[in-house]
Amino acid sequence: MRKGVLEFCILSILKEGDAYPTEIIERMKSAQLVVVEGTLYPLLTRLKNMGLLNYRWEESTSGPPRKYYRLTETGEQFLTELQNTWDQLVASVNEVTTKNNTTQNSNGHE
Amino acid sequence: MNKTVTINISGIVFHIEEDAYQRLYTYLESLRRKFQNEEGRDEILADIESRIAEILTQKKGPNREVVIMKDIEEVIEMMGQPEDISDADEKETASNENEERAQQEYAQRRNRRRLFRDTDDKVIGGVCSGIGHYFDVDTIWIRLGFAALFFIGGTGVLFYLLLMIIIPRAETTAEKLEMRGESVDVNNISRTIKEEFEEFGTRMKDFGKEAKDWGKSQKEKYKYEYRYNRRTYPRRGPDDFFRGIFHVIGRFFGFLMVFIGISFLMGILTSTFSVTSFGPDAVIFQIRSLFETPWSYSLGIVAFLLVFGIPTLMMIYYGFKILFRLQRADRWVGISALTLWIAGIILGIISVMDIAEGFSEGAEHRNKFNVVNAGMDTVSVRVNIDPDMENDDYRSKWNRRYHFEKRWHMIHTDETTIKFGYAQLDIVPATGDSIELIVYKNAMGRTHEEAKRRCDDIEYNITQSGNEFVFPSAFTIGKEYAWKGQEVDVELRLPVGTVIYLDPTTEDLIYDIENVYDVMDEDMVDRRWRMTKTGLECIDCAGLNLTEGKSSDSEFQNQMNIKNKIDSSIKADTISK
Repeated sequence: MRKGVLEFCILSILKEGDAYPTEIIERMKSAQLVVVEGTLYPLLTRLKNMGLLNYRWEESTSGPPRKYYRLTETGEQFLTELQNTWDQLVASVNEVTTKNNTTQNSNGHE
Repeated sequence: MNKTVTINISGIVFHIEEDAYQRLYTYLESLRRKFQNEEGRDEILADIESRIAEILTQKKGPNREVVIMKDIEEVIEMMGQPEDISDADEKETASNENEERAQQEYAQRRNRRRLFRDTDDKVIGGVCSGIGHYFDVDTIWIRLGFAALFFIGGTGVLFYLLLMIIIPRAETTAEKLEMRGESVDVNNISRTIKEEFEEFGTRMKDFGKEAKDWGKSQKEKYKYEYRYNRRTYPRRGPDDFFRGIFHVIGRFFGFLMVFIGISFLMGILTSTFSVTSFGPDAVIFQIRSLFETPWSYSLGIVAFLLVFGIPTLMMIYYGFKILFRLQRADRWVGISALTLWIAGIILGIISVMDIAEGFSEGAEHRNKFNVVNAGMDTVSVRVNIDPDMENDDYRSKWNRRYHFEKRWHMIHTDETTIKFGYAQLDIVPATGDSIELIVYKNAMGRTHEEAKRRCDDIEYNITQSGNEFVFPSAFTIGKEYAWKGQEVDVELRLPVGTVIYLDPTTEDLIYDIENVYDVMDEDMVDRRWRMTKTGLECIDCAGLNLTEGKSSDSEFQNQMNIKNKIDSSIKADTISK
């Protein structure tokens, strides 16, 4: 699963405000989307290289400086597109699965 | 009690137990492998390292300074094993099995130890400690080695600087780990060679196909296909085929280049800087004598060092790069080396032209020696041997015999340096009936005046006491720095019928004197000769044939010549009677 889904989530989180990787990971962990942190870093770098994100450095009291990521304009556009695709996908999947369920149910009844 | 090491992750210092450190190292290395083909690999790793530093900082409380194995285990659990990190891109590219295997092999190779400078443990640039890590040798031995090289004409200094330029500094944590990575032992080396050959074989097989594909792709849909191929098979293709061959034999050549380069370097430096310890008459001295001032001599030395030293240094440099597979952007190295080399060539040409110009004019000084006519019939010639000048090593028996080099000698006394040369004496029949002794002094210079001045500076004083002429062993050239063709030739003209005795000391003085028998100069001494119209004739040479017991070819030839000449002169006598 999840090809593109994680990216979608990251972009959505960042839409709400700038964040650094640990924050993002906390959010995703609590939603049980990501199990390990290591997954996040290549994704962020990839998104940044695609021009959807940029970052600034901020000093930290509890360790090395942090990279705060932010959505770029293209990032926001891309997120809207993704949102649309996602909505469509969810709608389509819902439609198919509910139909399936009903047929299965009916089959079971027969 | 556990041993700890100090490491630096993203600029933060940690004391970490050794086993924990090993675990962390392996983990980072596995991540590096994981992101092998990722575009922003270094950035991703830097980010992860930074996060690890953050986690570890949080774990480190006021009561606990040291990072232990448990911390690292937790970090790894949080960050995830490489297998757990989902990476859609990699799965796409590694869709074919061979490719995946090749990647694994490549990743394994990356795990090997690499040569870095260890700037955490440095005296100058961390070169020695880096080499120490690479070969698992205590740094002190490497340092001692360099110190020893320093005494061979300063080779160590140049070599060290060169290595400092070539070897990269271990900057990231991963590089520091790589520096101490899997040790280089016999097993590893044999495995490397085996792998390289296997890889080479695969490349050979693939090469034909790849080249064909590549050619095809050039024809059809140039842009798309070409890009596609490059992307899917990043490590193959005609370029890589040649790189493959290079790798197999490369290391050997790299080693050879470094070895030969260092020997050359040592030769060049020692010949330049330790000249004086070789004694006054080493060949280098003669080269030095060509220069007119110490300044122009230094210039010549610089030119010599540049012209021969730069290519040697470059040889070592590229040898090292091949040997340790160092990848460095080094355009500036090549360019500056070339510039210096060209500068050296130009300097050299200037020096040579300058020397040549010093020989452009010649002068001869002809001086008639006043012979006191004592009315004697036996004249004797002797050399007043100066013991200092006789000690000159360069004047070996071999040189003496063949008059190989009569000029360009130098001895050092406590206060000064005396430069001297050996004069040559020729004995010819005189036209009149009085003895004449003529001294020719020759010298060269930039101008005729300069040459003339050099002639005047030559000192060579012959004395006469009774019927004996005493020659100095050598002529001196005054305070002159350079040798500019200074020569002294003496001509002794004897009236026909005069008898002359050549003292044994004159062996080095006489040069190619005409005599009726063609006897070698060395055989002419300690005998009495009478002047005839055609040259000297021996009076007491009865022993000559007898004393010549040895029968080398040339001596045999001499004896034959003598016999023939005596025969013919007897015949001539009989006919004239």
